Amino acid sequence: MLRGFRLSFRTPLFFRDATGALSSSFLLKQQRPASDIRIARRLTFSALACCLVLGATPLQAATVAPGAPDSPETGGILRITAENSGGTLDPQISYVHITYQMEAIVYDGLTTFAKTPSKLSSHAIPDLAEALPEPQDGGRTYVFHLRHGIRFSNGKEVTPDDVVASMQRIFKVNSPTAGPYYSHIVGGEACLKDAEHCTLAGGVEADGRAWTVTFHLTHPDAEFFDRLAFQHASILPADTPSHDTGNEAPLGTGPYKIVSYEPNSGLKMERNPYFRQWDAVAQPAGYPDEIHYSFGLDPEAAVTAIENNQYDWMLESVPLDRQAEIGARFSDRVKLIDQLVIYYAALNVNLPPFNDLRVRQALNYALNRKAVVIYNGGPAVSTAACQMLPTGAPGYEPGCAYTKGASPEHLAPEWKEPDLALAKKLVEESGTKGQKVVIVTPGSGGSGAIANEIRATLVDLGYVASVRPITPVIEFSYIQNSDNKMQIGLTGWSADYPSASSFLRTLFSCATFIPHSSNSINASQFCDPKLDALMDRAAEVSLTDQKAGDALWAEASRALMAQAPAVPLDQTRRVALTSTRVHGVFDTPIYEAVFSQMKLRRAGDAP
Amino acid sequence: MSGAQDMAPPGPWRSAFRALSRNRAAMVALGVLGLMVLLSLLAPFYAHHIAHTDPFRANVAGSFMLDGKTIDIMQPNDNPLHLGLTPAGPTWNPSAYMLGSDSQGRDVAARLLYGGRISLLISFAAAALCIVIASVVGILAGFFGGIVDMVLSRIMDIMWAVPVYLFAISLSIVTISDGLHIGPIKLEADNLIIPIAIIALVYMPYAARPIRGRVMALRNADFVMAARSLGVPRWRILVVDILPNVASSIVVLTPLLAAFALLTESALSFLSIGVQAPTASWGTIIQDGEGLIYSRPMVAIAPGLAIVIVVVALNVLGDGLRDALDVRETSKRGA
Repeated sequence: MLRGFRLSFRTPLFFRDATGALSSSFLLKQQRPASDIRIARRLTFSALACCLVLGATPLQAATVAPGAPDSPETGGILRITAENSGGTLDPQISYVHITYQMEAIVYDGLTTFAKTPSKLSSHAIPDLAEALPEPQDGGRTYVFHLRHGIRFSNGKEVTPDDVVASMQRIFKVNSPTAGPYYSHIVGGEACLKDAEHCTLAGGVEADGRAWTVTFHLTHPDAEFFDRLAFQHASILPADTPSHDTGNEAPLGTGPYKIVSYEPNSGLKMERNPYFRQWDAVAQPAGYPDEIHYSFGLDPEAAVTAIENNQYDWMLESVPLDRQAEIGARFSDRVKLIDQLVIYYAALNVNLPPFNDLRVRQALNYALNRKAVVIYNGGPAVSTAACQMLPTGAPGYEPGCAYTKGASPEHLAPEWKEPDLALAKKLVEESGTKGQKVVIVTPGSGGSGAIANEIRATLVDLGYVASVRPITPVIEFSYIQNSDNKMQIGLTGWSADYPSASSFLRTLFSCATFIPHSSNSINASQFCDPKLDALMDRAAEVSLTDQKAGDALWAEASRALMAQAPAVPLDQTRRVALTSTRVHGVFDTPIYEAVFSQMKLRRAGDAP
Repeated sequence: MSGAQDMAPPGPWRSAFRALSRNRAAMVALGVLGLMVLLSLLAPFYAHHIAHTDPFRANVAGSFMLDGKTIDIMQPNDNPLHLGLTPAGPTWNPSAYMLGSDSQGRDVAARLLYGGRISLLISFAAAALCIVIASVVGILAGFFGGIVDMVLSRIMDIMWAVPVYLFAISLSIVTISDGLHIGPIKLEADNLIIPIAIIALVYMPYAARPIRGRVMALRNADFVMAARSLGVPRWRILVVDILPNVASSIVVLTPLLAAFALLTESALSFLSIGVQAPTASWGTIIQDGEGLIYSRPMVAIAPGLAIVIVVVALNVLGDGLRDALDVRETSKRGA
C-alpha cells in the first residue's frame, strides 16, 4: 500500500552526536559488555601483532566489532533524519515505509528480499530458511529447513517454535495483512475470527528434531515466498507479547538492535552482538557501528542539514523546490532511486458520470500527462503512466491505450499527447455533459496541482468540476468508503513486494471492494468477474511458469485499462541526498536503501 | 454684489484642494495611484488581447512563441542530473510572458494586473469600511461620553491590546475553513468580504481613537455649547457641527488606512489565509514566487514592487492631505 508517515508532534530534540569515526568506536567500546571489551582487547593486541608483522595500519583492524565486516570502511555513526517517526516499532503491526526501511536490518523472515543491488522485479530469497522449498501437494505444502545457529539479540537461538509462534502472532496482534496475505494458511480463517486463541493448527507445524517448519495452505499461492518476506512475517522470539509492543522493539536477528526510541525525538540502533553473517545477500553484515535517527526536521530543513553534513541521509524524498539546487550544487551526492509506485486517480464506476465507460475513457484520453510529470518534478524523476502496473513490475509490458492515435485495441508504445477531440466526442455520446464532478485529493504536496489539472480537463470536457482537498492522513481512507460517494480520488500505491497482483488484484478485484468500509482498497469499486478469472489464471500459471504467468498479468493489465476504472498518472523516482561521508548507496526493490550497507568515510579520506 | 462674492475667501475644502494641487509630491502620488488603478482595470484587456493567456489556468505543459521560436514554459535545468524544472523567465515582451511564468505556468504580468484589482479593491474597501465604523464609534464615544464612552473605549482597548497582525491572522484562520456564518449572513471562505471585514475591524481602534479625541475637543467648543444652549437636537449638532469638523481627520486617515490594509491583505494572502486560489492578489503572487526566489525572483519582486509603490503613494498622498487640511497650515497660507 502507499505507506504514509504517521503524524507526530515536532520536537526539535536531536541526537547531537557529531563524533567522528574514531570517537564513535571509542563510544561503542564504552557501551559494550565487559566480555566483549575483553574480546576486543585481545583482538586489538592480536591485530597489533599482525600489523607489526605485515606493516599494515593497526587502527583499522582494531575497531572491527564482532559480526561486522572486516573492512577499513567499517565503523562510524550513520545519522539519519526524518520529519516524523513511524509510530509503533512492532514489525508485525507497523505498516509505514519508514519503519519497514529501518527494521529491515533488525528483523528477518524465513525469506526476504535482497539487500544488495538488484532489479525492481526481484522475488524473495531464503533468509532464516536454508533454501526456498519445493512446493508439495500441488503447491499447498512447503517444508522450510531452518538455519542453525542464528540468534536473537539476547543470545537465544531461533527455533522452529519461534517461527510457529510468530506466524500465530500475526493474527493475535491483528496485523494489517493477516487477512489478505496469510489467511490462506490452514487455520488462518479461524484465527481471523478468534485471534486470541489462534493456533494455526494444521497450518504451521514445527519439527524441532528435523529443524523444519511446514506450512499447509488452503490453495496454491505463487506469491507465498514474497509474502513471507514482508515485514509482518518477521520471526520474533516465541515469548514476544501478543500485543502491540509500541515503543519497545521486540528482539530480532539482524545485524542491529534498537536500543532506544522516543517517537518525538529519535531512535538509536547499535550492533546486535550475537549477529554473525549467514548470507551476504539476505542479511549482510552492517558497516556503521551505530545508526541514529532524529525526528522532527521538515524535509526543507533536512536538505540544508545534509548539505552541511549535519546528517547523512533523510528518509523523505528531497522536496521538489530543492531539486534544481541540489542537482546543480551536489549532483555527486544525489541518488535517484527507482520505486515500484504508481500514482493514479480512482474513478468510481458506480456513480455518474464515471459509471459510463465512455466518460472514464474520455478522461484518460484528455488528461495531459506531461503536466502531471512536470508537477511531480519533471522527466528526470517522473514518468507518465498509461497502465496500473508500474514500469519494472513483474508482468509489465510497455503500451498505452489512451493517447493520441491509440485505443485499447491498438496500443501506442508510450504516452505522447492528449486527444481532447476524441475525449469530447466520447463525452458528447455519453450525454453526461454539464454534470457536477468533485475531485478528492490529499490536501498537501503536489497532489493539489494535479487535482487542479484534472479539474481544468473536466471543465474542458464540459463538466462542472471542483476540487476537494482533504487532510492526507484521512484522504486515503475517505476515498475507499463507498458511503462518501467519491467520484474521483487521487492516491498512490506502492508494492509491499514486487508482483503484478499486488497492483492489479489488490486494487481492482471484486474481493477487495467492501461496501460501506473505509478499508476497501478498491476505491474505484470496480468488479469484473471475467477480469478476476483472468487474474486467477495468471496467478495459477505463475506457480509453475513465471514467464507465462507474467504474460497473463500483462494481458490482465490491458484488459483492466480497457475498462478504465482509473486514470494512471505517473511513476516517480525518489530523490535522495547524502552527506559527503556516505558512499556505497545502491537501489534495492523494496527497501530503496539498506542502511547497514552505507559506508562512512573517515576524516581525511578522499571523497 | 458679484464683485463681493469674488472677494470672499474660498471655503475650507476648496482651499484644501488648492493646497493639495500645489503639493507636487502629493500630485505625483495621486497620479501613480491612478495609474495603478487604471492598469489593474485593464487586466482583462491585457490578458486576452495582448498576452493571449488565461492567468488563472495552470499551463505547465504549454509553450509560447518568442522571436519565431517555440519556448516551453517549464524548462529543464542544465544540471548534470537534469533535476528540477524552472519556469520561463521575463522576456520583457508584452505579448509573451513579459515578466515570466510562475511554477504553474501562468503569466506573471497578467496575474500581477489581476492581482492589483483584488489587492486595491480590498485595501480601498477595507479602509472605507474601517473609517465608517471608526467614525461612528469615535463620534459616539467622544460626543456622548459617560457610559457610552467607557464601554466603547474599553472594547477598543481590548482590541488595541492584541497585536494587529496576530488579531488579523486569528480571525482569518477561524473563517478560512468554513467561511462566516452569522445568523442569516453566510459568506463562503473565498468571499472577498471576509478579508475586507477582518482588515477593517482590526484597524478600527487605530482610526476611532483620534476621531474620538477630536470630537471630545469639539464637544466643549463654543459653537457646540451655543447650539446646545439653543436647544438644537443632539443628532443635528452631530451632523451639522461635529461631523464637518471631524471630516478633515477622516479624510487624512483614509489613505493611511488603505496603505495599512494593503500590507495586511498581502500578508494574509501570503500566509494562504487571505485571498483564496485561484483568485490572485499581490500577496498570493508573492507566495507563488516564494519557492522561485533564487531561480525566478521576478515572480515575487514584481508584486512586491507594486505593493511598495502603492503604499508609498498612499502615504505621500496622506501627508499631502494632512498638510492641505491642516487649519494652521491653512492659516499660514492665508496670512
